[in-house]
Amino acid sequence: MAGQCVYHPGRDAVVAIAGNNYCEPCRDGQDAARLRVDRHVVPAECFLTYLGHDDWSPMHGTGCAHWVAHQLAIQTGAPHNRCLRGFTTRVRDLFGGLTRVSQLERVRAGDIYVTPNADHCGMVSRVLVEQRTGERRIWIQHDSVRQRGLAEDEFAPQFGGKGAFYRP
Amino acid sequence: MSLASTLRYAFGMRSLHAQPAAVRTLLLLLLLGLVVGACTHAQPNVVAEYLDGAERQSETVENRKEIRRALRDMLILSPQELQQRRYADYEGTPQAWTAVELLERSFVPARQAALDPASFYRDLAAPRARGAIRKQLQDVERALSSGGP
Repeated sequence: MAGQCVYHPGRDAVVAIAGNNYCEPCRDGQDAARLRVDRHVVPAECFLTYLGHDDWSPMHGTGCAHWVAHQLAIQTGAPHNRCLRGFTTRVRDLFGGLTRVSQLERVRAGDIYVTPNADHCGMVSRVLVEQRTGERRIWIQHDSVRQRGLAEDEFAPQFGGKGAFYRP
Repeated sequence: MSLASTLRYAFGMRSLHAQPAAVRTLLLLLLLGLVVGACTHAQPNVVAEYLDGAERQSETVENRKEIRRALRDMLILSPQELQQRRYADYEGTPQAWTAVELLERSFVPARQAALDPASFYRDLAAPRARGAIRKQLQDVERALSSGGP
C-alpha cells in the first residue's frame, strides 16, 4: 500500500487504521498488544496505545468510557487518551462540556450515565414508565468489568439510583 | 545597578579585582545550583507522572477497596515487599495482579505515561511520588465513604 508509517516516516506502511498508516513493526506490535487487552473490553481491537520504540500496549483504564465514546462518536480529550480509532477513553473527557440532565424525568435513551465519583460510565439504553404506578425505570448499558463485557443494568437497583446524566 | 556594582556592594569591595576568589566562588555556586536544578527537573518520576491528575476508573466497591489497599501499600512497604504483593483483579480473583498491573487497569494518566516496573519501584519513595499517591488515596477513600455504586 502507498504511504509512510505515521510514527516512522522512513518506513513504508502496510496497514491503515482510521486514516493513519502503520508500518510492519507497528502492525506486529499492535497484533501482539491486542492479545493482552482484557477480555471485557468492547471493542477490543482499537484499545491500543503506542509507547515508542516499536512497542505497543493495551490502553490504560477499564474501557468503560471507550465503549460509550464509540456508541456516541465522541472524540474529545488528548490524543494519547484516545484509542487507535480516535475515540475517548477518559470518563471526564466524555461528558466535559455536555449539558447535565438535572431531572430524572427528562432522561432518555442515548444519554450518558456517570457514577457519582465519575469513575465509571455507561449509556442509557431504554426508559420505561410503568403504566400502573407511573414509576420511571431507566436501564444503563455499560462495558462492565464485573460482568466481563457489555451488560445492561437498571439504574435504581444496580447503581443505587445515584449518579448524573449528560446529553450528548 | 550593574552586576559589578552589586557584587561590590555585597562584598564591600572597592573593585571586582580586590577579591577575585570570592567572586569566583559565588559564580561557581550559582552555576552548580543551576546544573543541579536542571538535572533534578529533567529526571521524571514515573509514579508521579502517572498518578498526578490520573483518572481512576473503578466500577465496584470491591475494585475501589483493592485500589485503596495497593495505594496504602505503596506508602508503607519497601519496594522489595511491594514487588511480592499481589492484588485481586476486576472480578475479585485474589493474588492476580502486581501493583503495576492494578494501576494500569485502574488509572488513565493525564499525560502520555507508561509504568515501567523497574522505574516504578525505584521512584516510589520520592516525595513527588508519595504526594501523588496520597492524593489518589484520599480520592478513593472519599469515593468509598460516599457510598456510591
